[in-house]
Amino acid sequence: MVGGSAPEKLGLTCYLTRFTWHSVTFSLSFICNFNTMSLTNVSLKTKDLSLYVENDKGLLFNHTSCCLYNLPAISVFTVLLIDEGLSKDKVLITLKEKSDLHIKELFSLYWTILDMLALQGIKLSYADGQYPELYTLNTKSKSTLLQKTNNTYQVAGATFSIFAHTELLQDITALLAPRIQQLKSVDFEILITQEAELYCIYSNRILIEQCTKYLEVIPLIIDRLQILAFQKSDYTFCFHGAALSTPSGNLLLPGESGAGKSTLSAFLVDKDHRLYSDEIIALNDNFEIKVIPLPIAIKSGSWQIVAEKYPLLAQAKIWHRLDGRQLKYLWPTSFAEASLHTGNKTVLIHPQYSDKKRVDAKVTKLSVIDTISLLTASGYQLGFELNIEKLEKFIAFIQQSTNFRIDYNNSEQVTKVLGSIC
Amino acid sequence: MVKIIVAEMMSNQIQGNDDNASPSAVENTEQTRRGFLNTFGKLAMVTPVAMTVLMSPSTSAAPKSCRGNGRWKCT
Repeated sequence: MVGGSAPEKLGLTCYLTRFTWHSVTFSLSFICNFNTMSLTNVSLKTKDLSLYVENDKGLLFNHTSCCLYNLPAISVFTVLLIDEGLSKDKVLITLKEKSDLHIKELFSLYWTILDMLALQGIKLSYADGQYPELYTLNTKSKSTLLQKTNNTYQVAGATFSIFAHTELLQDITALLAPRIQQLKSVDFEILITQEAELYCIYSNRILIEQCTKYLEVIPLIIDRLQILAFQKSDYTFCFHGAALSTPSGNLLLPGESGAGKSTLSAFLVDKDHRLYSDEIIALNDNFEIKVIPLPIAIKSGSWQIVAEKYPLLAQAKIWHRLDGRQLKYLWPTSFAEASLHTGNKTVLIHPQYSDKKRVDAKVTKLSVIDTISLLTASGYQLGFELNIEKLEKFIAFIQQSTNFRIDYNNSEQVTKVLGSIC
Repeated sequence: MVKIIVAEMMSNQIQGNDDNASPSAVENTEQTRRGFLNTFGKLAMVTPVAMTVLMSPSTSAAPKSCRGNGRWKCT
């Protein structure tokens, strides 16, 4: 897929009204009748660099530092000039001819690009972000702690025991009841202690979190289970977002906190949609999605509207994040059983909730570079050292999926749009 | 402006090329690169300087639901 040059009808920004998606696309293709450049691989003289361009942007991959960059046109131009073998002075003179930027800014740009192109490895590794307890997987069966508790849980391929004082343990058991499994050994032993005003959370004897309020403990535990569940798996790419299976394929909803992923997921999980996870899009080498069966975290702003669909939410306990936000947990009606990516369509929607009232959702088609930028900006982790083969497979996956940004004011607007495109 | 330049680029039908190729293919690659140089030289006038690291070992971290995730790691 990478390197193809067939022009596509991109750049559509449209407001869905009462028309079907296909008719809107068709009619707007007359309004926005210009061709844009599809992602194209530019062959460079420097062999340890790969450059892809699309419209007025570029993606640069440095094979040695394993870093991927998003470049605006002037940076793509600078990379091409340096790749031609021009001297620093020649590059700066040419840039000055083409740009209104001050010479100081051009100097700064030149040195930034040179840093980016540096063909020397950096000491950091993508493996550095793995949580430390993954390197101390509990191998003993019936450890002292495990003998004291019946609270053992399975989340995806990871197993846990949780030990805490009575009240906290009751809350954890109540919330995680659907994940309880009787296990003789576990991967992670989680211990929560209370010392004076401080709650300390240990995982395989490593102190991993501390908080001062009882109400902050559970969100920390759920987040830890979520992350350990995917980090222990054979994931390659992981993005912050929700993932659901739909009758025609998979729906990915990447986004930062507050974009509306969890609320949308709660709305979409019905007879047609099944949840992989409301927080983690973890993909393996074949771009199959991992199921991480944990409760959905609904933030306070959405309680009222979500409770209309899930009445039990009204009575659910309120928990606090360390950043002060309040949330309640709810279990979705169903989880996906396994990824059904092969041969199925993937739709990627970047949801953007806003208080601003609007009649209908605003739907914007995303380019490949913009999609990758949004995915990584929301938070991401790689389970391997990035290389050109994996990157090209990932780019091909994004090229094959249908990518949109949706600006919306209420979940109904999004479900209406999804009804047309999924 | 960007649309006009990109449309111009498309009309030139410039495509990426293979590395291990005949002399004519090598020439083609050279032409392609020069085509992109011209295009992005024109685009350089109208686009901002901002660039971003999309993936690197220092920004890869477990995604967490907290304010400031993504570029700014949550503690």
